Amino acid sequence: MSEKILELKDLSIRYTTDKIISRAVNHVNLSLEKGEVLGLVGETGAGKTTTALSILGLLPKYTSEIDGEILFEGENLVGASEKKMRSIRGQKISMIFQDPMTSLNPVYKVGEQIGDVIRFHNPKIGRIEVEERVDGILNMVGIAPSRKNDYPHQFSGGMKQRVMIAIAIACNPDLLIADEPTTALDVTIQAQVIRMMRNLQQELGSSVILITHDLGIVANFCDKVAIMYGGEIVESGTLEEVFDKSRSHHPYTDGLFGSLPNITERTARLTPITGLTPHPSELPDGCKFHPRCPKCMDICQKGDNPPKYVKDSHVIQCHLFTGKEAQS
Amino acid sequence: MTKFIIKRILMIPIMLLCVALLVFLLLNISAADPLLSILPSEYTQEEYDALEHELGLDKPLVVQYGRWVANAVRGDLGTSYKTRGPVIDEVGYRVPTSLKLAAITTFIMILIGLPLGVMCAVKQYTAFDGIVNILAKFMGAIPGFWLGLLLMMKLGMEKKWFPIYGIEDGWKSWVLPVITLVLPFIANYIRQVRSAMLDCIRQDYVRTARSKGARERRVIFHEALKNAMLPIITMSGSVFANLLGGAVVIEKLFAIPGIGLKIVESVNNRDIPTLLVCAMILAVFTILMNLLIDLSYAVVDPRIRSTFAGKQKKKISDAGKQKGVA
Repeated sequence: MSEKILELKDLSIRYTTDKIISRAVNHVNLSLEKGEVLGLVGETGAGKTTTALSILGLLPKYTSEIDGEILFEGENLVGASEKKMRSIRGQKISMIFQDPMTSLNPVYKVGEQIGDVIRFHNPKIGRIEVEERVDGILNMVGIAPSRKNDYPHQFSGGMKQRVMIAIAIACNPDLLIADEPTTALDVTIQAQVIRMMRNLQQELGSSVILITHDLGIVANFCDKVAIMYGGEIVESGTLEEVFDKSRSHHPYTDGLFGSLPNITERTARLTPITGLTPHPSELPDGCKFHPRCPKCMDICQKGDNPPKYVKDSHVIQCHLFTGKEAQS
Repeated sequence: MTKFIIKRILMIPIMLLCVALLVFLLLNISAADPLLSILPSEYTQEEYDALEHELGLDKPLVVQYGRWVANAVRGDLGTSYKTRGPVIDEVGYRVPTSLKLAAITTFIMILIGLPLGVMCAVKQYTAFDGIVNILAKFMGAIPGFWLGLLLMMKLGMEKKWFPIYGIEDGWKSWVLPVITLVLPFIANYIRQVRSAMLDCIRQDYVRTARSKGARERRVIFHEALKNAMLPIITMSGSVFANLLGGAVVIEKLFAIPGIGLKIVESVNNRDIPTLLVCAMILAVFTILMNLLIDLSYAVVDPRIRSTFAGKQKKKISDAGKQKGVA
């Protein structure tokens, strides 16, 4: 049987600045099994990055509050010591950030920046061995090892993101979090990077959380999908379940798919979701999506979160399905 | 890189010629007649004309300038109107004193200001940051002449720990002037270092470093501080250059024979040759300091380094292309 590598249990994160409280993540439950690729989809401000940073314990110290549990290989990381977190970061869990242009330190050679991760987690390793491993990793991400003595400004955007990926996989992590790894890249480079990440994932067998708002990439890469809205997971399931048009979905998911162009039908206009994502400091009562929901009912505007509708591994958090039989 | 340095050093004489010209023009615009300060209070027109001719002041400005440059190149920096001796004897011995004062002050400013500024940035919005900030504002607001007098009275005259004037007493004679001089500079420096560090601490690559499992100390000193070095180096260098000629009040107060004081004296005496030489000395050090700052930029930041190397590489590749055509 496959084992759970990561489990988020009722995770809530609030940012407090002066008098504003932002509820960035609200009661999130997620689980990820070894070797699985999870796509975390949602608009800007839905709480995806905050969730990712909380797993690494990289939220700002003084302004964030965290509730719930983050179980990584069975151990709770919420409230774990800094020393413990340091040994996990980069070695067991690593992260690829959104913007490769600014995520590499401009004053150090890329080889050095990759070697750092190896040295941090293997203090006794020799210089030559580090060099050899750096060469190997650069080969894996498709960069000639001779370029390890170059500085980040000598690389193109796509190449920088490859370097970031090299840093992330340098210690062969069990879990890789990729936070919109292709958003800052142009389309052809996006495809290259995603293809490379998929190959590496299969080669290394790591679990991956892929944060994105690009459903095409999700369809290409992921086993499971979780759709986030207003800091909550409104729908989750396997790729097949979430992408199956014959199944019922959360109205937000329908909206996301509706706003994509369809190649089989000719439509003059795309149908976007009306309205804007609410700011995490001004989340509405009831279902967070109700002000924008085309199927909004009275019950959606009041009370707590809508009930969960479960069928197989497919979970939808919505009032529409209360009391209804599962339809497939 | 070497080419860049040589180019910059070759520029120095040209820049000095320009500085000398500017000083000449400025002195000519100012209405003060240097002859009046040399001649006795009662003089005849003949005496005036004779002196004017002797000093060469009857010639057009261009000729005066040309003569001065020609003499300076031969090593003759002119004769002081006041003492009638060579200017170099008047000013030369002051250079090491001013250098020493500026160097010690800059060094102590960095020694105290850099760690405090970095700590403030790291502990932003904590009590430590607040207290240092208030202290810095306070130190920055103290007038130097007042603090200097206070220190002289308390530590010099009452306790007799330190001499209150001159520089004949070894290290002890530097304590009071340096303290007086350095405090406002430290205050300013802390604030500048803090803001430079804050800019870097917020950068994405600092988060990357943390996500790699780096220790906090390494994140701050290795990743952030090196990036914050450019503005910090600029600040340190320009403070040094400013202090060389700009510590007049403190030099006067503690009777330190520095260049700044000499400039004020020679302005009062309308001693143009001395003033010129002082200005030249300051110009030389300012130019050298700027060169040093630029060079350390290249050492710290590979992006700037590659713009130096870039030109040469380009030329090589251009040459390669031409060969290919031929």
